[in-house]
Amino acid sequence: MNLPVPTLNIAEDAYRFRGELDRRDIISSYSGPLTDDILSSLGNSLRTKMEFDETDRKISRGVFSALVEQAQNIMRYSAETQAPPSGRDLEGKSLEDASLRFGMVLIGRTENGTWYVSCSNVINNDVVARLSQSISSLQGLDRKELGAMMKEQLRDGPPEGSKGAGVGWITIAREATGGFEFDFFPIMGTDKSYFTFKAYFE
Amino acid sequence: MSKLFIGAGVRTPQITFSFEDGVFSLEGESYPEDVRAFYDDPMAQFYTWLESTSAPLRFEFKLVYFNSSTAKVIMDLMERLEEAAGNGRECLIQWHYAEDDDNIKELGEEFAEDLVSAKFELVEVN
Repeated sequence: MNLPVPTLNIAEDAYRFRGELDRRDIISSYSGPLTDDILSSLGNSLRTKMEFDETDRKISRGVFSALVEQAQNIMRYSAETQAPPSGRDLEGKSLEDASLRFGMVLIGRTENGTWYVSCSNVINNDVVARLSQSISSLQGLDRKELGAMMKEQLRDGPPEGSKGAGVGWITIAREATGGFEFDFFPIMGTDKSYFTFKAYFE
Repeated sequence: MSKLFIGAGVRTPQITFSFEDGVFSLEGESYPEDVRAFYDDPMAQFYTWLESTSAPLRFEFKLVYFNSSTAKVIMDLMERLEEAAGNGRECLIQWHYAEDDDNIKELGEEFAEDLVSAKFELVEVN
């Protein structure tokens, strides 16, 4: 019996892919439709790992918190979505709320021991300026200033278009002891951009 | 309406509201994606009780982690408790934090800054 000769060793391919993750210091990664359950599973397995690593509790709490805030941003705002098929029971939710939202979550630790949480998702170009402005305004503020800003925002209520309390970025900025960075990449031929936010903990 | 108990979920805290004793607590973790779906009903019950009675009350926050959307729920709650205390009601707010958790402690202190009439206590837990 002659079996077709495979053109690619799938284990080798997977090993190389895994090697690429290692090369980028990635410990946990997820790309696909993001849900609350995925978030909890990713978060809890990471917490266990950090506990086994005897990671400073302050760092592990910061990493977990940044993961929650960033992942929930994807679940609320990613412009890469999939609506349920028509006729499906939405269980009281709007079509928008019942839709899946896609994004990528990477958590890792650089060689010098700095933990990071990096989340990416597609956004519409028309929100780039506003998002960029609101995150930039947090750069360089200290904990106390961020705390005051958070309270003010909580009291005033969420800004228009916000689906949460409007203080997610402030929360991350406050806890990211190693700072944070973000950027946008226009997706050619569309009115969308790829957005990445990366927070560091040390 | 003597007692409301909701067991802890993966992302939601245990809620124990003892209306008869005037003791209320939120305990555990809180980061549901949809905070309103979880909190709206129990908080409405609490606010109804708050407005229809005048007994002293104690609110215990025993949260080890909460997300920013939950912070809004807490902020609103603190404002209502302060308002009730301002109207002469005896309101004690107890904020529990683990001894090595500066973040939760700091958040409690920040919420407490706005309290004038309500009594606020930080409770260190080992």
